[in-house]
Amino acid sequence: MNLTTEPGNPSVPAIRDSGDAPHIDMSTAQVRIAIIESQVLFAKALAGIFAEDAAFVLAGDFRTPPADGVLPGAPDVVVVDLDGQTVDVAQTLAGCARACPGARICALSMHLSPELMQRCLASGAEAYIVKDISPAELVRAVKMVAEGQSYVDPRVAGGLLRKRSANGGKPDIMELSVREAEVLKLIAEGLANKQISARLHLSEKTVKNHVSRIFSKLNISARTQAAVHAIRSGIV
Amino acid sequence: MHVLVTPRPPAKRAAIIEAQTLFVPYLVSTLRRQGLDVVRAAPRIRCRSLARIAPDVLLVGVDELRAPLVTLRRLRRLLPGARIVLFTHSADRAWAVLARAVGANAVVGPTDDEGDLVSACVPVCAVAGG
Repeated sequence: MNLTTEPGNPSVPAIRDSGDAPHIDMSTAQVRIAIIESQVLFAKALAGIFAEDAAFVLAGDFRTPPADGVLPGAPDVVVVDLDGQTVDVAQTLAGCARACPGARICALSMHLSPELMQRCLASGAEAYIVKDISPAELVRAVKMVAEGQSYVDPRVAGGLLRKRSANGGKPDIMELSVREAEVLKLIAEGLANKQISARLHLSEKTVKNHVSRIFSKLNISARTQAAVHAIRSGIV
Repeated sequence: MHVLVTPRPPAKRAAIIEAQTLFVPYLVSTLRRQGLDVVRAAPRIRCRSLARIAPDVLLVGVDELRAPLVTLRRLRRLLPGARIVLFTHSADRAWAVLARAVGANAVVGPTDDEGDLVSACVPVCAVAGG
């Protein structure tokens, strides 16, 4: 996808190439945000938080992901509260992805659980946000995701690292070359291919090749899964 | 001309216990708009602190409590005159009936809106200072 802007229409986000995920240039465009929150009161609270920041425009407010069809408003980011949803986490996130094609998904939860975080990332979420943070921190996390990065609660990521360390396990990460491990680390930090190429002084094409080999060796298909592997293996 | 002046009663004092701190500013501002004086908002219940504050209204998020009904019974004993309002993701009516029996004045569920929260915390004719 190439850089596209719509002059004269500031509500249409500028989308730029991030390797494999479109993201928004927040200096020029508002982020269309959809809220999926089972509790009416908290949906209003979330809407209020984003309404206070000019970077966001509310695309919709829903109780659950729709069973079929696409959500109106073409959201760029979906913020979904997993607590109170009546179906499995993977099903909820799959429903969000199906209802909002192309949107990046931020999962909200009350649980400081590394296992749940892993399930969310493996199910396509770009962020795992625990609800005991401040509204300002939520806004910061969602902006990161809108800009093409990922976000996980540092306390949960820390727990995952400690668990991995206690297990002493470093699974298939050992198959990566030094350069591939470097690239994986930067993917886990949320960098796009272009940013990685600048950081490592490589061409973007070379970075893409490294990413393909990493995906192949780790038997994964998404950058978020790569981030999970990086965290599991302790390289970040 | 005779003018009858009645003193304005003090605002009712409210406390909020909610582990999901993300939502607390919204709850605080909603109650304040109704004239309540929110004197405390905390993620966890601290009985000694609550007893000292002695709020007129206590709003408690129960979804993160391990034994919400046990906690509720303790809170009712601690604050016999307070209006205790619970809110929850659960739409289980049977649980709400049980909670009322144990001492809750109202239970705000997932489909309840801001008006429901307000009327649960501030029943008609009970607003003070407004």
